[in-house]
Amino acid sequence: MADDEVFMESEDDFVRPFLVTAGRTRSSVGDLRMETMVEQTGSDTSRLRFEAGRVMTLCTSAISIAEVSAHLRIPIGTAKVLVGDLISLGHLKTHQTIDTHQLQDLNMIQRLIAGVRAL
Amino acid sequence: MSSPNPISAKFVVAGGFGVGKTTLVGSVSEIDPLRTEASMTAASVGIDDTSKVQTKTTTTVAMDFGRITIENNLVLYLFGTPGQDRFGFMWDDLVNGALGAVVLVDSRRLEDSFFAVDYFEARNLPFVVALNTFNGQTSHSPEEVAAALQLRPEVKVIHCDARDRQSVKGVLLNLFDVILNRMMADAGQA
Repeated sequence: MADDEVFMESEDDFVRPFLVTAGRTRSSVGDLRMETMVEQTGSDTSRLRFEAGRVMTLCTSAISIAEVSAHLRIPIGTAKVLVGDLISLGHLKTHQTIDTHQLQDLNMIQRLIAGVRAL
Repeated sequence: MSSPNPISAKFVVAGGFGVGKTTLVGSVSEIDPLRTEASMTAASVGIDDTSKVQTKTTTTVAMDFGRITIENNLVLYLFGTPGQDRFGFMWDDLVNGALGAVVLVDSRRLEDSFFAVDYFEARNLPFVVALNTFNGQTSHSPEEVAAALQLRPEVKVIHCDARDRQSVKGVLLNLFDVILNRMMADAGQA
């Protein structure tokens, strides 16, 4: 019986990554990075269960995929697959990340400088 | 709901195991540093030369990161690299899209930062070297460290106390300066 209890407890905490993603290791949506922020679109998500439902709860406001991964205690790759699915289904939208090309806009780096200076 | 269209930027904090990367991140982050994991399957070749068999190993590496929200929904993420060179295989993912990096150095263990310096130089990623002071002391000067790491003259080496918010802010501002200078230089050449 003691063994059963242990099993029940750990089952709650830990889902094997390949079960969450049905064995997939790559997201269906390209170019998702760990720092990419995602957010609910406002679609009806009442039918979503388990990990997908938990992702949606986290994404009430914009949050990075790394944060999704940390809060759900799943690897980054698994979080990308889950988030990618929810984007494909129209439940999540992605926000922009600044990459080096967009930095050509001096304004962005100046905002970063002003922001950190004001911390 | 948050305000519309936040935009995120990523910076990387690299350095040897135990040098204080997570402490540095925590000093400026608005959240307690979070830990995320990446599991990687890496093919390892040549472990047993006689068999010539390729084996696959799955490794889980942990990264700590923090967040700073700048006005108008500009969000800055600071990611610490896994602390050991042998996890270099996952740096590509970490550095992809990053705007710059801090190499945090303990001058008594300079060799721990060789990998990071080489990696960022090869990728042409702007970076600064932050010399962590423990109890206000370092055993080496920035000049000595720059020489030992064979840094290019334009790479800044600055003192830093990873526990101190103002000090870490100074490191980030120095990094932004490097990025800004490079942008101006690029614009001048164009």
